[in-house]
Amino acid sequence: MRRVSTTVVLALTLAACRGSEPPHLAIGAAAPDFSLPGIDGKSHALAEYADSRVLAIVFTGNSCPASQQYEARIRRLHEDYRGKGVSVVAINPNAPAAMQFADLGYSDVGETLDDMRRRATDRQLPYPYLSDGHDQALSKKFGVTSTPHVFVFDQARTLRYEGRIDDGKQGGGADARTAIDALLAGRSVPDARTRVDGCQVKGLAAPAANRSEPAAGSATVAVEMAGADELKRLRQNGTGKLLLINFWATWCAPCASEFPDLEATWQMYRPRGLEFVAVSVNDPEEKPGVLEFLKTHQATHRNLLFATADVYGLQAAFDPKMPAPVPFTILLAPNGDVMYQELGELDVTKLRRAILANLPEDPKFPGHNTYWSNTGLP
Amino acid sequence: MSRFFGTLAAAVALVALPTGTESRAARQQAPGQGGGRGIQSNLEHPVLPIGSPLPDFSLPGVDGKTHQASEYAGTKLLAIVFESNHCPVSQLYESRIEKLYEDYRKKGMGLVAINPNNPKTVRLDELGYTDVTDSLPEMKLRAQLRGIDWPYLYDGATQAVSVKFGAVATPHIFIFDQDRKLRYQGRIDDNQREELVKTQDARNAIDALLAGKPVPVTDTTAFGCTTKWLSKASGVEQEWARIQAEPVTVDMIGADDLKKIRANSTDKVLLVNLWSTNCATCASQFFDLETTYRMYRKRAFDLITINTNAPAEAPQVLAFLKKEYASSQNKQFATADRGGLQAAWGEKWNLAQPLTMVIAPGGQVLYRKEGKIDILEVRRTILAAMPDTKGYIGSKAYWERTVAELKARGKTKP
Repeated sequence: MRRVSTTVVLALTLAACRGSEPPHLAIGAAAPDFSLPGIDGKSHALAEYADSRVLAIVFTGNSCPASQQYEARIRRLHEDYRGKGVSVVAINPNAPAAMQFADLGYSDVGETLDDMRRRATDRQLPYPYLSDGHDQALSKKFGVTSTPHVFVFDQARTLRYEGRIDDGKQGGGADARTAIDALLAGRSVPDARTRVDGCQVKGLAAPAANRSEPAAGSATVAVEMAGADELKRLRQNGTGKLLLINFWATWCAPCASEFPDLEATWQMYRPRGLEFVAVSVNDPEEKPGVLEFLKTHQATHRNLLFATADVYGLQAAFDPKMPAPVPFTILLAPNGDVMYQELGELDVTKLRRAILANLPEDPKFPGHNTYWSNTGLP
Repeated sequence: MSRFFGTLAAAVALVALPTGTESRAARQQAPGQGGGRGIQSNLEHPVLPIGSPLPDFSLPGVDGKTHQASEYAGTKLLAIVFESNHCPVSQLYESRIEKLYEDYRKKGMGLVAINPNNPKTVRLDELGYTDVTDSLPEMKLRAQLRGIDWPYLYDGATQAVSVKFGAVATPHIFIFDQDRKLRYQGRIDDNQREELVKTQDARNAIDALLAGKPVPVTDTTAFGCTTKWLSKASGVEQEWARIQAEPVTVDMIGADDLKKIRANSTDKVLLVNLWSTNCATCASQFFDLETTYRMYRKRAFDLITINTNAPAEAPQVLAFLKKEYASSQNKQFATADRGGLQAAWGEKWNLAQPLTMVIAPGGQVLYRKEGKIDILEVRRTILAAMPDTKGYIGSKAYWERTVAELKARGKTKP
């Protein structure tokens, strides 16, 4: 038994290493049937698109930076070909339950249907967007392992093209469009298969492999007393990184309620270099409550507590312009510029977008910062 | 927004941007409000600038009357203080507001307090330091309880007045001169702990104005609880949805478990309710007990409900608890031996009535009532017992004083 499974693993590993011919749905195969929930709250089935001359199914997700950059191109595909009898349907193959914080380092939202709805609203995505995340059964039938990945079917619902949408270069090969144009003109598709790059679909591997994050509570939770000098230094941000600072208090309910969101936000972006410091404006005598709260939340980032009861004095030391009430959250660039601020309970999605727009550009995903800084969103 | 990353322009060239996104981006700012500068002043609703005329208002007060700005035209100065019921910082400033009112009334200053919060925007988990929330009827209760005799008006309905002032927090004070021009705004003094106050900013401003001198410091920031703006998402509905989704269970317990609960060896203040499904009074006050649990559960507090029905009636018991979304610790006595139950608890009471107790760590009984309870009295007892070191310094004393004053008046109700 053990030997067999080792062989299987080896075979899969080899296939993954070759990277070229994973067992995708074969050209000439019939479109697998489906019935999946969409962001419009309705279920969508293959039969619904029976009248379309061409059906393009794009596997894409929220969290993958490559998918994000293709959202606009999928939208244009949908808009340009809608009048020509072509249906474009986007399907998210990622299992929301398998998502780890580290998988969300490039996204403001995860992969649930609600997250998909939010993304589609934010980015004005007009095409059907369905989730296969519940059991990934359809994604397995298609053999999808990365996003984005497009499958183009002719009127008989026979697969005629699968692979990338385009080669990512301006004026370069628009493979999916070439295939659709050929099918609409009754010609054969020149390149029926192309190689896909992008992000690995989450959740397809065995559950054990999806649980590599350190066990909660393995790091220690501590709080340092911070006086005026320390707070002055904090404001200057000497970390060389993007720095998120949250001023909070145990007795402040909005603070407590947003704290888990801030923790999750730090976990999401810390692999990309986000620093997080939580500063309690509690009285030093309230330290037991502060520590208990931080331990409850397994807050292993840097924690400060006002060293004296002179709240106004310490706030002024941090920044004379700092508003006094809590919660107050700010995001500092490496040079100390304030890139985001929120007084009162925050909208964590807005904060995440600001972080994404200001993290160092990842050379693997050119344009990713632009995607987040030019959102046009409030 | 991203101007400190110089590589952006190069990156843009590599990616074909949708034209729609570009044009929207040109019209609007990137995410956040910082814009690569220093900290911005309160942008949700900007604070009224010094020199501005008194914004007009007409608001209902705790005295049942409507009060207007023009009503105070005869006073030399007018102080508008934003305060609220639920905020512990605001509570701590209540006695200082009272002294301001008393000290300067005879010198010709009017003082009007305005609550900017709408109870619909205040979640249950924001009520950890209060017996009541921020509605007008509950402001009346607080005013009676604490002997608040200055005008206390409610702006929660629309927040139109609070928006005009840009009230950042409770407490936040605005002082207008005889021409009703704003001459000071911000904090009342420089420390929430009265014994540590060094600078009396509001009094300094008032004294200067009364003496015809310039106000030494005109603008300060106001520490406290952020105003619960109607324009921001409050999460009230989400909180209720979460509560409804919390699991409801009942544990069968024996005499030893009962003795343990009664002895309270935890570090929490326990509210214990012994009840049965055959008791109308029990049912009528159960929701209030669960609400109290939802208010204080993030503090050194717990609610334990102990059902006294026969064990065979467990299904009805669970059904009732589920109907109440009772996600508290729920227990049921495991045998039909009522005498044994009362022996284990250490006292007898009429089992057709609820027995409600507040038990301090170590077992001291702070509150005991057979039959119908006054939930606000129960809450005040709990608030006066929870430790400040895991809460807010001064809150315990505020509630101890409140409870003691009520007792001295020979009442449990204001």
